[in-house]
Amino acid sequence: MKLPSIEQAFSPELVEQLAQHKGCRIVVGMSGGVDSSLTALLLKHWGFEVIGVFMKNWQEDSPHCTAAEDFKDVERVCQDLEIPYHSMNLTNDYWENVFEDFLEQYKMGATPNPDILCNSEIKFHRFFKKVLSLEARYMATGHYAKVEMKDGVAQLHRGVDSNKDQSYFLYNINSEVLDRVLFPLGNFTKDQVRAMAKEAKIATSEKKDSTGICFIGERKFREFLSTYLKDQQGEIVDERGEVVGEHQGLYYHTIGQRKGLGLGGEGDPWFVYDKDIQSNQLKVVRGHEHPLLFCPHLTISKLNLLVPKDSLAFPVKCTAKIRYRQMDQECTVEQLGEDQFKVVFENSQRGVAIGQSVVFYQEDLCLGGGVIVKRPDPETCN
Amino acid sequence: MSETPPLCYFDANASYPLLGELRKYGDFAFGSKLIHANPSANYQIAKQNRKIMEQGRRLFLEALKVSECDFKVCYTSSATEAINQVISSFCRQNSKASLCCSMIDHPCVLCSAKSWVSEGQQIVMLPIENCQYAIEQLQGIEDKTQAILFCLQAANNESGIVNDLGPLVTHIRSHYPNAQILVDACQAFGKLPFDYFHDFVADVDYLAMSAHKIGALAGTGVLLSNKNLNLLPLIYGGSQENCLRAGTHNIHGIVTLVEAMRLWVENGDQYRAIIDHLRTDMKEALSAVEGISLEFEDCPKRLSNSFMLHVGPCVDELFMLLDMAGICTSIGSACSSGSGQPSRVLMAYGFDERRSGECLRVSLHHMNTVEEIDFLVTKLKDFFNK
Repeated sequence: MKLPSIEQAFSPELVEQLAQHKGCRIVVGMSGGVDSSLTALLLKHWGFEVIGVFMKNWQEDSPHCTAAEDFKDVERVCQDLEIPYHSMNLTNDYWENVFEDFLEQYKMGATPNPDILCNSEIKFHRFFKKVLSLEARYMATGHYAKVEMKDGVAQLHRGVDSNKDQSYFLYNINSEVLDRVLFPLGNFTKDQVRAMAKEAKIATSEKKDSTGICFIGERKFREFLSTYLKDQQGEIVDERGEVVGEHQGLYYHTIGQRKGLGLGGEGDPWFVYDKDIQSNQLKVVRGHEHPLLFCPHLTISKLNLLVPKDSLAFPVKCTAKIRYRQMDQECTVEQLGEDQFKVVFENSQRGVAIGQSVVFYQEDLCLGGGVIVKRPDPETCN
Repeated sequence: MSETPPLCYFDANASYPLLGELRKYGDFAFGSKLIHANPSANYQIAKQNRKIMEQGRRLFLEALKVSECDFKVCYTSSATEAINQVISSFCRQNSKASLCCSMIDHPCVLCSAKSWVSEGQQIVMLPIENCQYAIEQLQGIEDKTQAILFCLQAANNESGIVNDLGPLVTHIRSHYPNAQILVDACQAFGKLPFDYFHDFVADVDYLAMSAHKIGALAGTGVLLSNKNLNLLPLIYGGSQENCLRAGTHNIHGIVTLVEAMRLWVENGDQYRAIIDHLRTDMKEALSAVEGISLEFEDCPKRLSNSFMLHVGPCVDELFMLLDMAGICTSIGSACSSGSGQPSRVLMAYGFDERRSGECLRVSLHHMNTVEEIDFLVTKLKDFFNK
């Protein structure tokens, strides 16, 4: 597949803005994967001065950490592209601002998303600041999302590949960074990206996409968590309070989950519908569609808006995702307090867990989102 | 350049003549002499190479003022190999012995020592206090008469601190009768006058140094060893170096090493005087840069060429900007994912983890210029002014 023109990648307003910074320096946050590699290639192809910077977030003494291999890939790609490249150590920042929070949330029975926090605290905050101090006009990444200009204000939009769109992970970044950020892949599908990378003979064009949380790698989540959190055995009870089994720690389980319960018996499979931190009980029901697994509404906090606050008048009708890749859900967002918002869904949501992020959209525009802090009691729905 | 070697050379199975442009490396430093010949062969040009190697050995012994009756000089591929060889040889001949290292050691000491722990050897760490070895505080050796290999560093690559090895070696000799002493001289060689070594070298057992640290091609090291000890080979399979180090000699590297050694012997005082001057200029210029502070400046014994700049959490960006301007410096200890990580060496000198990851190392050579220093300082000022 032929390399696209800059007009095919960005909206006319953005192209115009970029024309004012012709040939400017752009730092590409490179992971060693195909997306960021192609991002660097495209920007170079369009005449910018590109620098590849690898972000090291995790001490590599773990056998599961692929940082050393990934950096080698960054090196190969940048050498082929003949662009300078560096590695930046953000392990302390990551530990203090992402990982400690992640563990803390888990301890409290929540289900946090460290990739969202990594974007808002590290990539698009600390890394971003460092990158701009390299006399760069923009930071670019290989995210599948789009920055669009409206009335001179940069907005975050979904990437065109609905299967890959990563705006969900970006909702929590500071909106002010958006006009210095570029997502050159947002207008393309993953298949197109692979085809372009292959055609351009990028060394990582065949590299598998990384899955899961970066610091956990390909190992089992439970095994990873158990190295940081002590097991805390407790009862597994059904909706009538009958003890049906034993769990090793509430944090190994999340709402709606089926796997790893170790419960058998005849009948439909068991699913987690609640976690009681006080009694250390894991509550389960039988059947994927059991009503106790569904929530009609929930409460969020830590709202981060990517659009001007005065452009929204609560209650706001929009769509929401409570997890990555979920289909859009119609909802209304009502303001309850300073930083408390109630999200009422048209259709009850399955598997709502404290700590998960809810991200709001109007069409392709990402409005922002927040973190679930409360869900109704499954039994009373209050 | 002609493809035809100037000699009627029919020993391609010993060493193939260098090809094309590579030939100029073969003629490097010694005019028209062809040095690609395998030093183990028996024709004139091979013997010529052996002669250069022997001259090199003598140069080392003379510079260090030790006798060939007491010490032998062995060429290795690196100081890392030399140090591994000493540790391996010691451990193979002394079961349940102690290896005494310190946190300022190069990984070739620490990793090599660690690899012997599973074989029953113990590691004891020589404490560092006030930037010097503190042997009085050494713990973990109950029986001072046991076999101990002391691994001592002459000068540290990161801090530039020169260890006062004279009194330390005397102390070890008087308190640890069965100790063997290995000195890692990589950073000190050349950068310090040879007098520094005269204080203690006759009383140590091994000394390792490296060609690329003194301006010769990388890929060669030297191991000086006490003839009364039975040094075992690390690599087997040939009679090179009196069977101490098998494998065809890196003759091109060795030739450059010998030449560099000769230059340091003849001109070292001059090189060091230039570095001293550059240091004064650099220190003065750096003191005018807001945002940095100089570490280790109060330590009395340091390599004149070494600066450790505490620059704060922006160290990565600063390093990159300097690099993009064509200025080569160093951060932390390099790791395989390319970034610097907090230096355990600086931590051994008492830095906390954060501070040890916020430092930039600048080390001078005698061919640096005042203009280069001005350029660096201008870039630093630009960075911190922003």
